[in-house]
Amino acid sequence: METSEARDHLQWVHGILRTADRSLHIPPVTLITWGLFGTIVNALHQATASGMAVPHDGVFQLPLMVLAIVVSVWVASRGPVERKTLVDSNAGVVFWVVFGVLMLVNLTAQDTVVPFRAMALFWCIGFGIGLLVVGIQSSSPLWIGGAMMVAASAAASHIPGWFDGMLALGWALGFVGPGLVLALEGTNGRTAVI
Amino acid sequence: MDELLLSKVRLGVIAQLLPAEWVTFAEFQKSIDTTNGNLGAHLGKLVEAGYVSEEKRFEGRRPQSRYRLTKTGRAAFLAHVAALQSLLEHSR
Repeated sequence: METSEARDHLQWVHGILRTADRSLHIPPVTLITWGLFGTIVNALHQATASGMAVPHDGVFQLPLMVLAIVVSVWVASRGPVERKTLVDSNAGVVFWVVFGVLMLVNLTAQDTVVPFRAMALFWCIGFGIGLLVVGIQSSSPLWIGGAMMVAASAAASHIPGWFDGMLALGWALGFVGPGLVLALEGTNGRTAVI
Repeated sequence: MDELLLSKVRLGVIAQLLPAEWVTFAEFQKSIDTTNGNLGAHLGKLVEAGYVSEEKRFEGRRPQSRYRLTKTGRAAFLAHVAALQSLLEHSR
């Protein structure tokens, strides 16, 4: 191979890698759906703690979670995805690990070792950490949302009367907020690389 | 140098796959300036050599081919790029 050809090939590779899509593609609807799920569940807990008559946990929590899963799967299946970046893959791993670990603790330890309210705190702070990890690598709205969720979790313990309300606020700011920002940007969840 | 990667199209395909989990045939069509038949033939050679894996599926009713870079392909690409750089350095 001639040196000019070698140089041309290296420049071709450099050009492709320099402009390669390394962004996160996360559907805003998925973020908004899970944010609303967390917000509603914690807001209803707050209503109960405030003495209002609301249905028991079991009545609304499972149907809402099933609805959120159905919406997420539906949204994921209808998007015209032509490429999955390594960041997309990493984000999927992070959120599934957070969800899996928290669900395991929820099912095995809640009300035996872990009190009900502590579990709600773990869910909020766990997903806050997930958003931070994914967001720091790929998306400003997501890491800001994660920071807000962690801040709301930290603040909740200092306001016992509004503990669940603060967690609800965390879910709204952490997931619904970034979801709306990405939807308004019109990037269909494609976020800028930091 | 890797004989298979002396083709600019095949080199471009591997470079596109490097920062991705997978890329569809349609996505390669947008970024690599060649005919569908030619692109398909180049991808076929990379699959045959084990540099790239192919997954055929349906996205709704539309058939879709997804391509992933294998460990062999990644190693071959890195070695080939190093060889190109070495050639340029020795020519100075």
